[in-house]
Amino acid sequence: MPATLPTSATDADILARLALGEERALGELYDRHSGVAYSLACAIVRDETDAEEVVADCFAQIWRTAATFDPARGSVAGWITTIVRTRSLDLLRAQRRRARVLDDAAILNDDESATTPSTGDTPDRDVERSEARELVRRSLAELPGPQRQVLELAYFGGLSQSEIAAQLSEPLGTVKTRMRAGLEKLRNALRPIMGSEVLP
Amino acid sequence: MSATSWHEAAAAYVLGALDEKERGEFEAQLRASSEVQRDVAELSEVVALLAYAAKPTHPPASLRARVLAEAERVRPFGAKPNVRFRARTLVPYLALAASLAAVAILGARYQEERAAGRTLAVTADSLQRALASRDVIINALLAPEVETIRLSATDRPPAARMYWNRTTGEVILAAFQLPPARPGRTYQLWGIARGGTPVSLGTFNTVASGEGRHTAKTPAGLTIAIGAVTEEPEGGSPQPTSTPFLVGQVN
Repeated sequence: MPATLPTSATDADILARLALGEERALGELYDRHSGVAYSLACAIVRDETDAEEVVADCFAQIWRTAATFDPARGSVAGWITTIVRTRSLDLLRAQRRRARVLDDAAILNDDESATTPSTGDTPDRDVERSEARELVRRSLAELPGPQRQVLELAYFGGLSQSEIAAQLSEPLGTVKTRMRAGLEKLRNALRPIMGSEVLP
Repeated sequence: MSATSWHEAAAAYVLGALDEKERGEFEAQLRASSEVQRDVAELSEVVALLAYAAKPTHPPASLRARVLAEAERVRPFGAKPNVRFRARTLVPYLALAASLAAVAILGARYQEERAAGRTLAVTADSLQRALASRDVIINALLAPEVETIRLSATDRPPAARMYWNRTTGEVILAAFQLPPARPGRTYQLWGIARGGTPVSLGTFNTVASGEGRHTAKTPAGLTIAIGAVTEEPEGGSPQPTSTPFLVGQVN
């Protein structure tokens, strides 16, 4: 349950208030994006305490650097998830516990009870996020296993192509081809939701 | 780099999966080709959406309070930790302070990200441009020859503050409690020399919260005595078509 009432303000509006130092705006932004941010951090760092650390750090960074956000470069949601992913992977690397084999349970095989957290946003934007999430998960699940695997090792595990090739004992060229083919298929599947202002 | 090769490198690039040497080679290709830039932009969107593939996990309730408390603690704006955002009169100072702090943090963060080598080129470009833009604002504001013009119609909101650097001609306007212009309309800033006609300093708008910022440069030879804001048709007008609702004189 978000601590702020639903508001029709766009993410960009909230960020503009944030850039002026309004703490209440940080609360609103948190309510809207902490669900995805925390889920992503958990999927990468595999530890709830570490994930809390990451999310707290990320929102502190967002608070301090809101004035640098450039809407021409993408959505606020995309900016936030990029920061969360970068910080999460930094932590993994610092702890030298890179994912050797990703545990799919943390990514795709969630149970039915897993619900998208309420965001304090308007119902139609919440629905848009929920439908987008479903499409992303379905599209990823429908990829051929080897293609999905290299994408997950790169995105959630932070592994380079050569590290993936070594881990899977596959030729580097095969990994490169799978990575491109997997992203191409996802691009075609996700085209209907690309460019939205409320999605990453 | 062959077509197949750069296609594959682009996919790995947006996922952050290129080794350092490969990344350097690909970024050279990226700078040189608009086709590659388009491809990377689209694939970056796809990769951003992968965040939704993570299993939905609810953050603990305590995390929200921690984030807000942390924000107060790390607030590097020169404000006392317990000073809250109460009076509207604080806004211009906070805005300026935020800009100054953002530059310092942005610079450090930018270097850090570059060193880590994981920031996409597009993000780096964006940060560089933002940093350059902040530099312009700071240099314009901190110079001794800066004039401050308080623009208002009455003692009540809306209001705006205009900073004008006499030497460089940089103008920065910060508007407060000014609702966004109606559809098809825009706000336009004017600089007026003593005894002269209004000279357009560009159009701007505000966000829903009523705040807006605008930067401009005065044409050579214009010595501003009065600053004014009018509402004009979208795109602005060569001369004001309405009575200024915000006016202020250089002290």
